Amino acid sequence: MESRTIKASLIILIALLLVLPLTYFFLQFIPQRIDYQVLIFLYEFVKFVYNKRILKVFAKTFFLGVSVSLFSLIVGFIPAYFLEFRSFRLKNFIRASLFIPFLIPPYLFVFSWLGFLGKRGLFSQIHFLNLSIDIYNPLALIFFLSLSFFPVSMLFISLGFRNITKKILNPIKIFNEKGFWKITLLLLKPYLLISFFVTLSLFFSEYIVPSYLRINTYQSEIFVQLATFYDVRKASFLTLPLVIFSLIVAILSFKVCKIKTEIPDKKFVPPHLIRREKVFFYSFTVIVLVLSLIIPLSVFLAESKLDVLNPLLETKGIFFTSVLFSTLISFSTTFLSNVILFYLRSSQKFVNFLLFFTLLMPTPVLGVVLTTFFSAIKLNGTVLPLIDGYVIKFLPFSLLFMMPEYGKVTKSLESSIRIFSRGSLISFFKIVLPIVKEGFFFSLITIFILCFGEASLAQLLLPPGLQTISLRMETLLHYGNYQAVASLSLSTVFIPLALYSLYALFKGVKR
Amino acid sequence: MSYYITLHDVRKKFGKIEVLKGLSLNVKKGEIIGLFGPSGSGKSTILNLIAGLERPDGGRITLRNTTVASDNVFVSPEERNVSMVFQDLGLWPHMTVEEHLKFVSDDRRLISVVLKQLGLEKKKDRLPEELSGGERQRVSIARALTKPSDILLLDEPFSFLDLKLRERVKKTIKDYKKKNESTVVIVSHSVFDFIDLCDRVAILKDGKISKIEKPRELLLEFQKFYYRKPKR
Ligand SMILES: Nc1ncnc2c1ncn2[C@@H]1O[C@H](COP(=O)(O)OP(=O)(O)OP(=O)(O)O)[C@@H](O)[C@H]1O
Ligand SMILES: [Mg+2]
Repeated sequence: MESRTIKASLIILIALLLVLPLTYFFLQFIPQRIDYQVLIFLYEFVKFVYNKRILKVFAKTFFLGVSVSLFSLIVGFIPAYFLEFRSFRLKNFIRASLFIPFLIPPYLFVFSWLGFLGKRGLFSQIHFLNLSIDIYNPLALIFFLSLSFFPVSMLFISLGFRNITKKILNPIKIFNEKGFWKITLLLLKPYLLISFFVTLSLFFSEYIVPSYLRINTYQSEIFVQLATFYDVRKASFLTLPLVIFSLIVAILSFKVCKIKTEIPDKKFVPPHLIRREKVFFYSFTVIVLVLSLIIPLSVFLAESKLDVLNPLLETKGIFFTSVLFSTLISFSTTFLSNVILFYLRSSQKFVNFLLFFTLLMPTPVLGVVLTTFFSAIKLNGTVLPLIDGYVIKFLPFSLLFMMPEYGKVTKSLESSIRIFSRGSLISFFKIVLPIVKEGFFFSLITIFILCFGEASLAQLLLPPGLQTISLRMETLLHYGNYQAVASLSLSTVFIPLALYSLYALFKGVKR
Repeated sequence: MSYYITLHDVRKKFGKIEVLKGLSLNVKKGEIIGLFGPSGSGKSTILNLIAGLERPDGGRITLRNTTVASDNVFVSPEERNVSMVFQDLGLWPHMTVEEHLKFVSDDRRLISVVLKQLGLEKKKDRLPEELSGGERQRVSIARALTKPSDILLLDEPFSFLDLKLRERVKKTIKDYKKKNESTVVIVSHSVFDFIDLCDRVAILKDGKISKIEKPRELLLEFQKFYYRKPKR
């Protein structure tokens, strides 16, 4: 009885957070009365919104997005393969380090690269020839965003590789050694597709970076309509294709791909790297880490002039707000995903759909949908839309981190909990939580970091009067106060990340 | 005569496959009843239905003369207060042997007695993954015997045990039954396990109980089956 109440409240909560705003969003496109004049007006309006320029921008954006997705797919594929099918030292550490680029806010990432290659750049100073490279072009955008998104592709491809267990591999070895890639790619296809679409959606979420590089994108058009002209209606119309896109892809993904939640085979020890692989994999890892971590870090160190404390002290209040807010978000999101996975596990399909749908919803969509909804119920200007937005935005990641953990909570284990339980809460804390705790902490930390550095959604939904550290950095960037940005990045992004990788290193040593 | 566990016209489907097709079974108080039938015939399903881990698609189940499952009643496993050994054990991977028992009961004396009876005292600080198959099975049995209940369900509790251990475990189960005045349902593939444990054996066929016999009769039938001359 108790668990049924929890289930019901959970469904209601999801409806309130996600379904209701979306329904409202769709409803506003249906004219209140349908007559000749209204239809004419609507027609004119649609023609006005989707004009030639917009369509051109859309095509360009789409092309850029596809390129970014393809590149991050390729870059993510290589480490995923080695991490799942080869043994080597410091595996956990390398896995964690390769995930870090995703945790650095893309705008800071690009900022650092501008500091490296651009006019103010260290690079141009090192070379006396004044060799500043023009990076205000689409190629640079593809390069930066692929480097920033590839960890997500890596994550998905790893999940796909985990389907290819010893049970599948052993017969291949016996019957057809060369069949490995044929079977692997076949089993991997859905995961490759999803990874592709998820990075595409991440690309559509990103409007700060393109605008730095002076590239006009579809998402910036939405942003301009919403945040500069306050034209919610036009923004809604521009958002509509993205919503429909994410719905369709979510349905497709849901159809073709099941995120496996089986226990990884602990006894499966993959073979060690052979010499040639060693050279390739280590150089690959070093190159990627230099490009995505070492260079940004050095630029931040140099530009901050090592003054880490003062800018932080100046923004003390904002810093604490951010810490508090991110803690709140990371706890509530992780908690929600755990409750969902535990209490709705019998509705695996629903959970999968929720995962894909939230994962594929680009940030501008969230911004527009939640703005319209919360304006309608007169709660805009509060912090609620932002909380809602962040929970929806980060929920899929938490679900992704937790799902494999809940694979360990098998049916028979769960039955024994029910027979021998002494209250549902005790069981949860004494049995379920200890079993899933690694994923739980990982989710807490990761979402904290993601939320701390997030600026796109904050820019759309933050109520007046409130500031977060990420937005603060964005503003400082606008005014060209590079030193402050660099030192704030160091203290707020790199120190947590350093702790995070130390943790991974420690865990790697212990095992 | 009132029964302690009854299943009346119980139906259970998994997807399109109908596993139980109107099965009825009555168990008297204090009785030990065996369930016998080919693999996949639905023995575990029956235990799960009695424990409340599955819901029947039709029919009625009563425990201690109260309906616990019917068209409009369903009592959750937490409220049925039964003890159980699972076919796939269902141990908790992060808990040691002793912690398993402590989770079930606060009675330290009982815990140490059960550990001793099942020969697990020396292994009490180990995790399930550090145990052999038979040891794990004994942990699962120990956990069940630590929870005092008047209904005990055993799903192939001896499958990983050698003959000597079987005898020891059977004795422990009998002690438990006496102490708690329990009614016991036990599933096994071995006729010999029924001989010295069960009062009656129910034989499952085509989703129903095809007959109920004394264990000796079942053994005789078996002997006939195995010792008849092969036809040429
Ligand atoms: N959760 C489930 N989902 C789908 N089918 C199931 C499920 N549980 C059991 N079945 C099916 O129901 C049938 C009966 O299963 P059950 O486990 O009760 O058999 P059993 O008699 O205990 O067999 P065994 O002796 O092999 O343990 C089997 O065909 C099985 O495939
Ligand atoms: Mg069974």
